[in-house]
Amino acid sequence: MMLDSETTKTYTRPISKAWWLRDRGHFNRRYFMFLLRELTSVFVALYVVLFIYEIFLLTKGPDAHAAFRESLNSGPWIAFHIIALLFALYHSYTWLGLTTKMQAAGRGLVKIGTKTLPPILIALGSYGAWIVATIIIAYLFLTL
Amino acid sequence: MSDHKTIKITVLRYRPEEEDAPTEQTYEVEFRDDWVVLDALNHIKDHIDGTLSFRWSCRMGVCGSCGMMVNGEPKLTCAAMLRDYYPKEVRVEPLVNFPIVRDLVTDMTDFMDKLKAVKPWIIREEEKPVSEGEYRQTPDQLKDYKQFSQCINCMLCYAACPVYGLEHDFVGPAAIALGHRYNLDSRDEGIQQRQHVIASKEGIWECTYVGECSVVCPKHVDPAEAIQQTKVATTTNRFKSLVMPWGNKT
Ligand code: SF4
Ligand code: FES
Repeated sequence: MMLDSETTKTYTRPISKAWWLRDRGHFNRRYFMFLLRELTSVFVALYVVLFIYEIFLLTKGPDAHAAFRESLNSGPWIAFHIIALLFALYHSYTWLGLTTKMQAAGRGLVKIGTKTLPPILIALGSYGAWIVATIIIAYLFLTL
Repeated sequence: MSDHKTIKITVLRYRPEEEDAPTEQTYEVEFRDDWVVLDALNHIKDHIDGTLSFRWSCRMGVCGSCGMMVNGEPKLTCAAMLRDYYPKEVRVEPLVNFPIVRDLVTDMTDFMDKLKAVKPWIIREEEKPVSEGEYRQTPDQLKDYKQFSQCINCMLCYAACPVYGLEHDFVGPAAIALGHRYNLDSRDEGIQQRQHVIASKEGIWECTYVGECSVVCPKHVDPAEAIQQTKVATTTNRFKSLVMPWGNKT
């Protein structure tokens, strides 16, 4: 129905600020997980700031850097790192999971001939590449 | 009625000539195992309160006009069985994210405008004369877009999308999925005419992938998938035209 907004008095319902927590009286897990995923970027950003600061301290000499590393050994800092790691894992996991969406029933973007590669292969490929990259980087950091 | 089972149906009411904001009204109706929520609403309208307004037509999940919020979730009321809620009471509200015209009826002008904007029809650079016959297509080419063509314009996905609720310029799930459906159609040549609507800030890039549109869609259109596919395709095409400016630009 097309309406003449001049003559029709419609009512627009307000959206609660807490829509991601309580959606018309119900808890919607997917809205909550979505907001959590948006929140991951805050922790990733905080970690990057910390990392850049650490690199900056390297230019101030080994002592300054070592003192800083020492101070990170306290409870709150360890807690921060664990939380940031969990958020980063959640972000990467959901982001890579999205790659299946470009494949499914419609026209798959990755094809072999006319056959669309099954989405599960794309997901496994992305997760596989992620794990391999993580292992290589961890190896470089721990051995160099 | 004492030997009959009954169920409470609470309905959001809005009578613009009488009130400035919606109110609630609860009706107690007979509970029947084979009734859907729409049957209960029709029972109320026919036997209890003829002033209650709502939209419906086919009663079989085809026309897309009976979408409402049932206990907070966007549903086709002709497909929502009462027995799935019984003995709890059922709350029926008009689809959220749309202005209410009266009771359970919403104003869908915004959706209609967006649907028109993506030009959901086959566009040819040049139409061939009828004498040359139809535009033919293989089953494989049909498969490419079939899923996205199942949309019945019920707007449940718009009610499920918090991005649309907060940002009304967003073209939204169904309109993008339908534009994508024609872009994927081997007979269509209109992708350029749709890009400025679909591949824009108000189009696919407004989507932050909540994914709820695909969860509530009664036809398994998976609009979230259409949006993600378009994001990847648009990005790869931009990239291609950057590194190979002489190539085919889309
Ligand atoms: S995409 Fe699904 S939920 Fe959205 S309007 Fe179409 S059929 Fe309804
Ligand atoms: S009445 Fe047609 S879809 Fe429900």
